[in-house]
Amino acid sequence: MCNWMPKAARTFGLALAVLPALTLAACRPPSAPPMIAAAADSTPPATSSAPTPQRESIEPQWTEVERRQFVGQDLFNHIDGAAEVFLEMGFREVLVRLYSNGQAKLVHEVYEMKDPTAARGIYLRFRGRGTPVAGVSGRNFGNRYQIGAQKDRYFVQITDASGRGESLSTMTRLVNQALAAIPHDGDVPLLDLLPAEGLVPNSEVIVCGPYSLQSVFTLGEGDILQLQGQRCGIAGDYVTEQEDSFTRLIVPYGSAAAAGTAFQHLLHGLDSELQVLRRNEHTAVFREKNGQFGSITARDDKLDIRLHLVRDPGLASQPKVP
Amino acid sequence: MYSSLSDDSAKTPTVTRRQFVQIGALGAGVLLGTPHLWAQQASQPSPPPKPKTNIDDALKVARTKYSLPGPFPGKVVHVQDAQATVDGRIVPSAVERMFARGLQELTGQNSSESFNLLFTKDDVVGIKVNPAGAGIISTRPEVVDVVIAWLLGNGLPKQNIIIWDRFDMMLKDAGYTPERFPGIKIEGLQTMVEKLPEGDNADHSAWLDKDGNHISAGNFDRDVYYWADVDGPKDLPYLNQHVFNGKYSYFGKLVTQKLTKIINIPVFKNTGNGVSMATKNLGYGAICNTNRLHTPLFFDVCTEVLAFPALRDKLVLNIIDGLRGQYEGGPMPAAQFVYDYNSLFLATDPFAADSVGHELMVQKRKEMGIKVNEHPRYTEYLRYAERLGLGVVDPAKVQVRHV
Repeated sequence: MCNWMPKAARTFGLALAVLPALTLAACRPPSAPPMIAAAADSTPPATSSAPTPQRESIEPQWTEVERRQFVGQDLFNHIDGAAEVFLEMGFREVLVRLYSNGQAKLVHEVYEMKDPTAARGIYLRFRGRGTPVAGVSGRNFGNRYQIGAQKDRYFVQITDASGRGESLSTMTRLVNQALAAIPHDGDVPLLDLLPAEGLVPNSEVIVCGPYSLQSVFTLGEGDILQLQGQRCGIAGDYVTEQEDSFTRLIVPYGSAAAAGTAFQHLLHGLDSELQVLRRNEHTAVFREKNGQFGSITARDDKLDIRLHLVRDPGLASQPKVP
Repeated sequence: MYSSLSDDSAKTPTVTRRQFVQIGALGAGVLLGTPHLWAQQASQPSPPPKPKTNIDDALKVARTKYSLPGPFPGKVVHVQDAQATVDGRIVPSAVERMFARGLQELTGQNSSESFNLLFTKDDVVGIKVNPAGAGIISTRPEVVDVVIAWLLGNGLPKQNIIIWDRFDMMLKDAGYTPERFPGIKIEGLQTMVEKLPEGDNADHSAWLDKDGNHISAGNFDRDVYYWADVDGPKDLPYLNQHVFNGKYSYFGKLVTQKLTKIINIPVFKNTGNGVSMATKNLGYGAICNTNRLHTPLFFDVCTEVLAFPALRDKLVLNIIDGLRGQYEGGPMPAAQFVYDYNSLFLATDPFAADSVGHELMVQKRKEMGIKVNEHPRYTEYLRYAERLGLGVVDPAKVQVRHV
């Protein structure tokens, strides 16, 4: 059955022109390498709501020479390996502008996410331990190659791939203009879930699904935390006198019942590299492959997961979730 | 990737799409994710089973004396020279010394003997670079210079050297031009239009022929392919970038018909919790229609594609360009995670090279405070390669020489 023609093929002129040949090609038996099977997909343009600096506010030697906009899953047409994480976090659209002064080029990207938490998640991911750039007013990191900043539900990034530094002042100005065009910042309550004591500065990572969880730990396959594209958790590294260093991941579920269900789901699908040592109704302790320990606790409406513990925490020693 | 929405009022002809893509902080790269596959995986409680491939076809072919892992299984030479980069600029003389030292340490023989160990003067040698991320993290032309000088110095005719990658425009972006390398052939396996035409009456004749085939379709060998039971998306942007979109990823004819030997010069960078170094540079660089493979077979491709004779029996030397490294944000260029590493890694065994690179990458990520997920899934492809006899990655057997 040759049923590959997507609905997009019905909406794009070119696809109609090539469909007869392509249909034949696509229906060739699998024993012979098929010819191409092209059918077009088109996403209707959308009007960007991204904050846009006024053209005249850019130094006259710089000209905006190209502008592009990517909406929703069209992001795959702009970036590669990171598109999944953006989408998982709640990507809405990005406005990309290319500036040139005849010698250097700057790429100005404004990513609009669904909310400040999503934007902060992207920001934290790209910031790493990066440090702020002098002259940029607001939450930012960067160097002469690239400046990243975040405010409200926007993540702003300016890049000079040459890294020569001559454009840094213009990059700084563009970032400041973009941030100034965003009227107010938004709260990210998720960040407050991590206790401040012992938290390693700049180690926070927001987890909203399997892709963003990958950078923290492998707990299991698929949507092992039952985030369901609707919830996010927060991870951070800790150094304490009691536990040396460890990583903590806290996920709020909105209700104790949902947290309990997530706890059961997690234990049921726990990665085969992790050996459960003991468990009760709300807590499980496991050993990691490298001999370190981890624990999972369901309390109130949250899961509190600790990783890379040097010592076996035992079932009774779980600190209270704030 | 190359089709997009645009604001007509902002279009100008002064900057090409490839320049636009090149300098995009996140925009450069070969390997797109797959939207529909992504959506499936993100919403599923558990992933689908791994699709079947035609790896058995590759394993049936008898090996040659040049087959992977080559004459030095499990051996990796790491040459580091702090003087290789000064104020962000490469010092060619230092790179030349590093290469000579590393080669001698790898083979235990001098320059000429090393050449004769791996090549004959009749060989057509392809130098596979990684031009993605030009300007931030791409194979430096200075490294290619010393390799070419070595080949020429040992009698290989200039016309028998081809610098190549999958995409022609990325080669140009990264400085691989006839002006920069006079007399050396520079070939991309495929081209693409820099800006996909849009609208009901869009003219796609610049990349689609009258039969609806990509104009680069003829550059791929229909008789030599990596088959995997997963389909590529059937849309024009995908086709523009990937040439084909069925279940077949054809090898480039350059690799199957023209080249007799390959020198692989990737960069030192991460891809998520893994590395994008020697094996990924070829696994995803020598074939088309790769996007579909990302989600279900990501690292396996790095092993299985290299098991095919077109690569297995021609890839004789790997030189990881670690003059710069990128420890996070990869495979895309991310300037905030790039550092001067002043290193070259030489190996005939690409899996050993990646194994060593992975360990060093993990160390660097920890040192820089990056969360490190050391789950074995990110290195399983290396052990898989060892089981297939393509490389040696067991830490107990890998020999690393730091010089």
